[in-house]
Amino acid sequence: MTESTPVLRHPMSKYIREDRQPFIYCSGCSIGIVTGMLARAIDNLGIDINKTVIVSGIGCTGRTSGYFKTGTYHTTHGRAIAFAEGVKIANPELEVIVVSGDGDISAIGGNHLIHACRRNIDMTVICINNMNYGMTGGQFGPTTEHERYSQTSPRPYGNLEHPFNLVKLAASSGATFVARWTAVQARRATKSIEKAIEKEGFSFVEIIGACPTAYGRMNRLGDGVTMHKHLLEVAEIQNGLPPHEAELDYATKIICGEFVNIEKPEYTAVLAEMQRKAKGE
Amino acid sequence: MEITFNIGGAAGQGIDTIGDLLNQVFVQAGFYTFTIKDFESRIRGGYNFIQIRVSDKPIHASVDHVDVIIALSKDAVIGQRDRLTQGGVIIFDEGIEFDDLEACHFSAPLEKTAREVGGNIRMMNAAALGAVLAVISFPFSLAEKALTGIFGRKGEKIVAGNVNVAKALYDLTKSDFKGTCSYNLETLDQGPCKAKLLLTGNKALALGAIAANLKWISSYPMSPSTSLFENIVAYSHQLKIGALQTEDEIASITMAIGASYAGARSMVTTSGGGFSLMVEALGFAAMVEVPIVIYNAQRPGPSTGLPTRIEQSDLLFMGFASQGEFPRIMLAPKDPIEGFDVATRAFNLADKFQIPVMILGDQYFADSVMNIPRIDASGVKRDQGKLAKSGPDSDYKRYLLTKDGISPRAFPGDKGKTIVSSGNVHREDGHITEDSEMRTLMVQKFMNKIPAIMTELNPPQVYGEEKSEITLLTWGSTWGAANEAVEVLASGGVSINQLHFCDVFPLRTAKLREVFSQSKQVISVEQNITSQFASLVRMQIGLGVTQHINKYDGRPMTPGWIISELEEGGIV
Ligand SMILES: Cc1ncc(C[n+]2csc(CCOP(=O)(O)OP(=O)(O)O)c2C)c(N)n1
Ligand SMILES: [Mg+2]
Repeated sequence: MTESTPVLRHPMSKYIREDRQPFIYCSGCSIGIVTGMLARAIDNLGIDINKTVIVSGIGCTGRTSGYFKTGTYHTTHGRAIAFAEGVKIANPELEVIVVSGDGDISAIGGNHLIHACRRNIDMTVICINNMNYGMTGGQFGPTTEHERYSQTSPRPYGNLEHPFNLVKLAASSGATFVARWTAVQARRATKSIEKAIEKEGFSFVEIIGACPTAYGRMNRLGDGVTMHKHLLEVAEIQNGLPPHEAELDYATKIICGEFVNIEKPEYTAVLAEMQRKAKGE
Repeated sequence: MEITFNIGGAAGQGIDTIGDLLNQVFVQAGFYTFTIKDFESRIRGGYNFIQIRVSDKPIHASVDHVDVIIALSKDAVIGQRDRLTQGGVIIFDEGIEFDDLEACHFSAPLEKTAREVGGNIRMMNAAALGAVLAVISFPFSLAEKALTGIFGRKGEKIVAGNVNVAKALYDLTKSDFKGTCSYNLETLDQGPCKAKLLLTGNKALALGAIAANLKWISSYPMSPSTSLFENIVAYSHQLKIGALQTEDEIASITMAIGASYAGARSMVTTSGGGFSLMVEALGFAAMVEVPIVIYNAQRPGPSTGLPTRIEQSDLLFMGFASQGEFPRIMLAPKDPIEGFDVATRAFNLADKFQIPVMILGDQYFADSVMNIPRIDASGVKRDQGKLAKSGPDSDYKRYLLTKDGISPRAFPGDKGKTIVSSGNVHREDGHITEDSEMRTLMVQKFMNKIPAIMTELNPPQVYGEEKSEITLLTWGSTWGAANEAVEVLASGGVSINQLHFCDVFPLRTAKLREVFSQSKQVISVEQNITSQFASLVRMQIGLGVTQHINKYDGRPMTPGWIISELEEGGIV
């Protein structure tokens, strides 16, 4: 017989620093959901949290790392992937997972993203794409759609620029695993995150999320619930679709699925092999 | 008359709107107001507050005490109640539970009234305004004016709703509030202040830049600088200003230097982390002698530090950033009025000397609000400096050696002139060279600009008695707190004055030498731990301050804090 515990604890709380809660996130934000996905993926895989490092940059999403009981590395804006590369190469036994925002990873950090993809270093990058810079109050970024409104692309003109499609970007830069889900597809997204972690190579998982406080308000997309319902409506699953066809149009269609899963020599493995050769082994 | 309000709550609860309303009320009634904003680096939740100080005399600093607290969350009571003055009042929403309800606490149905009378809980702001005005017995008619001013463009219905909510709470408070507030403003006359323009430092800089004919701004969002950029973006299409939000700060400054090379008055806005990324291009701008204005709203570092808080710790970094040696100018405005002036001067100085001009702000300067007189922009002079004669000139040399080091500027596309520029050491025609003589001449060309720069910069200013035993040495936004401390102490018989610098680099030394020889004690007051300005002074004139007062907790200095530091140090 076991004694029942009076306090109900979340099954994932074993990975989460409850003393750091409540989360800083606004109600209706997707980041908490993605935090849950990652915790479940870690749980399902049974990986050693002492050998796991979660790296993030700066932004609302960047604050994710600090809620995990793994090793965490809350770095500088845009450089999470570069810091992570250093961590992984210095100790390839570590499981390295980057969680950061769309601005962090594809604006200021865009260069590091494409080069890490090209290098094919074994790590998992989870990019929460809320289509704007949440932390600084809702400016547009490289994932904001044309003519959408933001603090720095105000009415009546909207955004002059055009967005990146991060799936296409990662795929064409050489990532060996590329997937996209929305924040409401928790089970499938979690599964992809597991695959990404298991993959020996550079994995990129984009999660389309809602920022009701900034992007949602400025574009009149409704509250958090409305935005998440919308994500469910427009998500269209097309596993295995060639990545260059993985279109993303917030209003009408967000193609989701796993688009790339290829084999390519991984950087730290190749490096170890070269070092063995150099030693004449 | 002097009264201080503290409005606190979670991010997103609308404390800013209550602050705006209160500000409007007192500004319309003819008073001086000074508002600081204290918030966490998060979008929702947490505990934020704003402090509004109102007076019939000009004020430039926040204070440690508070007379009326308006609390929208429990934290907002806990965070401030130890600072409440005798006879002060705490107004809080009845939804917040308290065990130790004292007479000075007034639990008001803010949310309920907003919902029931206005039909919208957002009108809680108007409710709060009504309660406050009743507690201090201020005429309600002023509330109506303020509400119309702020909500007017949202239509009559919204205005009427807000007025009704405010009035309901006003009347209810009048009958239900049993405590006594030591502030009874019923018989208050119209105040003496005519200044009606409520402005932050960042907005003042934006207006100054526009008045100076800014034509290009490229930035990447970074607190506490972002509102300057956003202010310009809002008008950029009308004013034909290129305003581009870039992918990072390296792109911001390189685009701006590109635009400036092409002839547009250009600036970038950032904070310390972003400025760090700009440093390589800063040196490039210096090498190619392209004018550029850089605004750094400093924040406590290193690294991400405290994104929304106050520090003055980038002075030496900015003064010496980049490889190599070249002239640069640094200006640190003390308040919004000076901010407007600094912005206009910055562009003229950059053009005139073809060098980087850097404006140093911080969250205190950037976000604090005060009411200032209407700005007359017609007096703004635009001086582009030496320009090449128009018309074809196949011999045009962009880097012509001149006595004062300044070569007449021309721009790519100018008829009959070719503009050659390079970050390598170059000849007068701009083509690269490794010639030792030319290298020497070009380095001297940079430095030859310095005497004229020195005469263009404003000297520091002495506040208080010209000759005093004690001098507080300050720069930038700490002016206000130190100034008031000096006034308070001097009126109590202490021989003390203030020597303040806005133009901090290169350093004008004449007045410094004078003050060092006159005052028995020169004490630096800085919002950093290493007294960076005092170090700069020692480096330039070999004289050291006698004592240092430093604050580095990210919170604003207050006159009271400076006085207590002086007392603890046995100085006064
Ligand atoms: C060098 C530098 N520039 C700018 C900033 C300010 N900054 C912090 S977070 C952020 C954007 C965050 O957006 P994103 O990565 O999309 O994350 P989100 O907040 O939307 O989750 C910016 C611009 C910074 N911290 N460092
Ligand atoms: Mg984002």
